[in-house]
Amino acid sequence: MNPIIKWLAVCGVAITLAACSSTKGGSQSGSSSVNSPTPTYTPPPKVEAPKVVEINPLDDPNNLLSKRVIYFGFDQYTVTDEYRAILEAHSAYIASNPSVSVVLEGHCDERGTREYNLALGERRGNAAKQLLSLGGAQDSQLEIVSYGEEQPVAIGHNDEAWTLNRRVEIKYQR
Amino acid sequence: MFKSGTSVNRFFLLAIFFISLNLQAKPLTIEITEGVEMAIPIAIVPFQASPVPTKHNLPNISEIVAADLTRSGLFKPLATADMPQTPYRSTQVKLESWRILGMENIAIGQYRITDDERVIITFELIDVFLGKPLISTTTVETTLAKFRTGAHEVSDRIYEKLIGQKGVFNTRIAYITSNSVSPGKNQFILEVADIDGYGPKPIFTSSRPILSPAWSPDGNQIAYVSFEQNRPHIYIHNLISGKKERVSATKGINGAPSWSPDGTKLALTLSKDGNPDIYIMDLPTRRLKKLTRHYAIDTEPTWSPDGSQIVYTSDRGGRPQLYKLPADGSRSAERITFEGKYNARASFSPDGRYLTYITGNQNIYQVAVMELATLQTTVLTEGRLDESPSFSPNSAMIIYSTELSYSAVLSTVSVDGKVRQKLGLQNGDVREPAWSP
Repeated sequence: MNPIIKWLAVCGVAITLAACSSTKGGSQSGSSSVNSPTPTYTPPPKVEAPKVVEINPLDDPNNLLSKRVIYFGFDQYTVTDEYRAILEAHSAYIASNPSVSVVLEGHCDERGTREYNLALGERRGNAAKQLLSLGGAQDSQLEIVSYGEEQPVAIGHNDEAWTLNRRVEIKYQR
Repeated sequence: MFKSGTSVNRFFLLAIFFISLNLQAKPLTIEITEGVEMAIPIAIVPFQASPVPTKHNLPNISEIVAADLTRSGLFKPLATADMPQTPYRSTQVKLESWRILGMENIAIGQYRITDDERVIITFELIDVFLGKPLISTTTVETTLAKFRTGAHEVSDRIYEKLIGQKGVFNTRIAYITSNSVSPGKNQFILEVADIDGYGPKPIFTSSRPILSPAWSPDGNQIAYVSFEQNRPHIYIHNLISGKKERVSATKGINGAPSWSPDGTKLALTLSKDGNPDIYIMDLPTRRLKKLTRHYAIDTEPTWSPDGSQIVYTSDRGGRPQLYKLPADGSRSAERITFEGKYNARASFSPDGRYLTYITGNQNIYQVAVMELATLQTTVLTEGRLDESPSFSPNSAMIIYSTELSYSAVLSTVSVDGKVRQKLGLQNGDVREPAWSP
């Protein structure tokens, strides 16, 4: 197993545990005595070897890698600053995991013509790919597929829906 | 929704009571929203069947013809109940009784069904005021399976005689329907139906997007883009053999297929070199010729009817606008739209006089026409998200899709903007209409 994945997995576990305990403390402060069993001391079981729990960093909600959608302005295909950190995290992860491959799905809102939007979606995919490549991801690991306006995530003919639909989804091929 | 004064704000809902030959298929309903003020009064007298076809549940030919003529927006057929008599031979016609009603023309006819299920229709069109036939006894032959086709042929003859241009009642439309079958799961269908909405037939069904249907000039094939292999690839479906073939599956976009007028080539958009450019594919050899070489988006190519020009959408000037190029690539591109921020997806009228396209700004996208001789442009529609305009073969009407109460429906508008109608399915989106040759 790749040492970096292992390392990220361990970090992931640590962060997840921290997140769980803090959430519990916050939301259940008043009712913990009712819901929690009375704490009793149990001696730790004897273990022969420490078990490594593998959590994929991509599935860890506290890892930037779990954020896999970036959004764009109307008729724009420039990645704005707020999404650069996400792409940098993915870039580093993809670069250090040569076996990983990613499809960058480009999407548009429904305004404008369908085939032009197919091209615009590809432009958005290209913009994301460029930043991933800068961080060391190899060309062979990255593919762009534009869906144009054909696969909206939000239904509706308004700004709220349009904002959510102008996006690139980073899809790891597992 | 309706302007008053300028046009007859008639609201015909042609309820479809006929028992469809294909019971599974949902017929499109058709609504004339605006017609011309000077619609021609005409009487289509019920055609006499001899012998009466008791075992077949057939609509009367006159109803189909009257519905066709009404849909054109140029005629005002008389209701059967208001007819003074129901003659089916010219000798039976009492001209005076029709003159009193202000009927300028009446069509009368009869039909018979042979043992081998051929349908033989004979009809006449009579000028009531001259008392002379405009179309003397004419025979149209069809089959029982294509009963409506025979009736549409009668409509075409009457329309051509009185309007002076070819009728398009026997043409078809290809379009895409999209329905949500469960949350996050859609069904896309490429369908073909008669232009009056009858007999819709699914050509291809997929859980992944289908777009950009384009008819071959002979009407036997449809090229389209399908994501069935998770990538936008171009396929050609042969309507005669029912077979389909993948014709382009290069890396990136394979999109916007458009047939050359002679049917031997496809103009298309490929981004295999990293950027969407226009290519011409020779269909017999599948050889590609790259037509545009620009770092901008070049897409949505369309051929002029003489095959000499390609008009396409490009954002090389910063925003999508229309450009034209000789189809042989001998000269460089020339911008042809200057009004408006967004002009895209052009197609020519078959007579070569007009270009129709989508014009828009950030939030409004509508159908426009440009008269090529004068370069004069007119916006024809009032929708917010109008799409995919396509000319009728007689260059008189444009079909397009528009948003209506949260779903997409098909609409037509005459090239002068005076006649409008809506065609719609009961539910789901119906879009990207392409009018058959």
